[in-house]
Amino acid sequence: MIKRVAIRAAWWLATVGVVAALAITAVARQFPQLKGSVLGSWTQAQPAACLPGQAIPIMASPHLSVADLAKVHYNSNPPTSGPHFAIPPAPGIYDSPLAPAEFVHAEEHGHVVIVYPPQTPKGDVEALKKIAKAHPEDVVLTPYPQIGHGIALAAWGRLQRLDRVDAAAINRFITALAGRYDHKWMRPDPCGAEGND
Amino acid sequence: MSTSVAGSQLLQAAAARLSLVPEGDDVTVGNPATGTFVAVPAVGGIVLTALANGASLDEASQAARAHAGVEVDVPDFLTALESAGILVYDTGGGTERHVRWIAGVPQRAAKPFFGKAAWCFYTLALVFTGIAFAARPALRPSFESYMFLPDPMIAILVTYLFAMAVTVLHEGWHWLAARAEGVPARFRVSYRGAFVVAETDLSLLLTLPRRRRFGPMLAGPAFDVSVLAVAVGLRWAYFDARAPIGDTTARLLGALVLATMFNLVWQCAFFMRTDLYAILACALKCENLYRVSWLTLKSRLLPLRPPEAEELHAASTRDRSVASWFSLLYLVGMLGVFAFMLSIALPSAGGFVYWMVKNIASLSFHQAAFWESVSVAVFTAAQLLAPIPLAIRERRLRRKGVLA
Repeated sequence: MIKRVAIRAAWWLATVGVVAALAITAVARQFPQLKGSVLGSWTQAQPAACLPGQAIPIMASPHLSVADLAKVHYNSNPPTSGPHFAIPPAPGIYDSPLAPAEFVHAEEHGHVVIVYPPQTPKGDVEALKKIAKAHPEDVVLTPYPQIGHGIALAAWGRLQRLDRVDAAAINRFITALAGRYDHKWMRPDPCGAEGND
Repeated sequence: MSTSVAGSQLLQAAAARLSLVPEGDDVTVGNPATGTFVAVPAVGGIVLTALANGASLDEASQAARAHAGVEVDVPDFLTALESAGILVYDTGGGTERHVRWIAGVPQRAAKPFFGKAAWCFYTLALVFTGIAFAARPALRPSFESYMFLPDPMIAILVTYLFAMAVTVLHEGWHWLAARAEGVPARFRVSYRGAFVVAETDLSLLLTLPRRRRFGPMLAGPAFDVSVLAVAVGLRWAYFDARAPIGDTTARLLGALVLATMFNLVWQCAFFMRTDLYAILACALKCENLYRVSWLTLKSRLLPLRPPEAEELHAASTRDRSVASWFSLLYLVGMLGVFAFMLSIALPSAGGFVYWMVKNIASLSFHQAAFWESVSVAVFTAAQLLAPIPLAIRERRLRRKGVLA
């Protein structure tokens, strides 16, 4: 009888110990993300002058309701950080415009967003689609009426404007900036100390 | 009605309705109408076969004595089968439990989907998918694939329906494979841990020899792999500009790949009653491994209630032997589910629910986005809360002895 109670107590201790360890680990690991999801997240900028495009200051980036969308003012056009919807769009090619609050979340996940005005010639759009298909994991391509002309390449905290489709420049931007950020900076930039202005 | 008063014809008719499948030294005896099965010694099979062939109780007893070499208490054996709900006498009073079978597909129509050529196709589909994932990492599923439409609310709603459709078709393929073997099967909604699932009740597979049960058990994953191979192949051709499919269709195929992969990975969680569990239990020659493992585990942590202790004691030696180590895997698996819920599912759901509440609170009735948010909230609540009434219902049915 005593032996049975002792064995049962040992099982209890082992099970409760593992459950407690898992709970503590999960809460400790996920608390920052949960806090970020609810209250917003802030990241220190990482300018890296050697990378393509221009560094844009990082905005506070909480999740945004659909109704709040109209009240948001981003610090660049198109935005490269800031408030966004809780749901990131799948990488790929979109024929109707995505809301900035959607594609900013894609940037937060390390994707490159390529935007073009709706009046862009069909041949240029096809050229952009070809590039997007070559980087299916990394690129969101969407029309974006808020830019008047040319195209824009946006990654988290980084923006490059082009007057026309330049496949080499676009590929360079994607290669250098895709996956650079995913809720945190993912790798050191290859600029050296003096390049980080 | 007890065996002692059952007429000879009633007894013979009741025995003739039973299925008998040899399992090593034992015979699995089942009543396909009630979906109840039990393993009995081989001599029990001799008795029931004799009765089914028109022998009287005395003649069946003689056959049993000739087989066993000793006197066998046949009336006692039949009474035990009656108590277990196996031997049911048709007195015209409707004593049999009503079971609604899904039927409609003839065996000959279902067979081509599970012949040798079909299984070659399923195997090739699996190999092709593996090669595609290795050669083009972009084809691998990503959780973002679910959000394949510009409107996030519509994307979530379509995604829910998508995941449900994949699950239903997966279960439908199990059912079709059971039809191909000539066995009817049931479909129901249940829960696994905190997840709501649809499942086909394949208990009637016990009327088949063990080696013929694997096909219907593997049919669901075979369906998933086929869908996966087609979707991955089309996406691969789209990326290489060799398939004339639209951009939205390509993203939709990405969502399909994700939903199907999720289903496949889920079915590998053998510590729950998934396909891999069914295959393992069949390969290990167990009858009710899941329940016996649960009782074994509970007995290590808590005192069992008397009916539970009795149930565990009455379980087959094989089940108890396997459950002694399988219950540990069960515990480790459930702890893994607990860790997954805490570290991934709950934080994601927390952020998502907060966003949903903000949407509903800040939008007006006149906006489409408000109703989209309400719809998604209802779906999400159903997903999260449905396991509770289902768990209560299953416990009630189990206590009544209706559910194994």
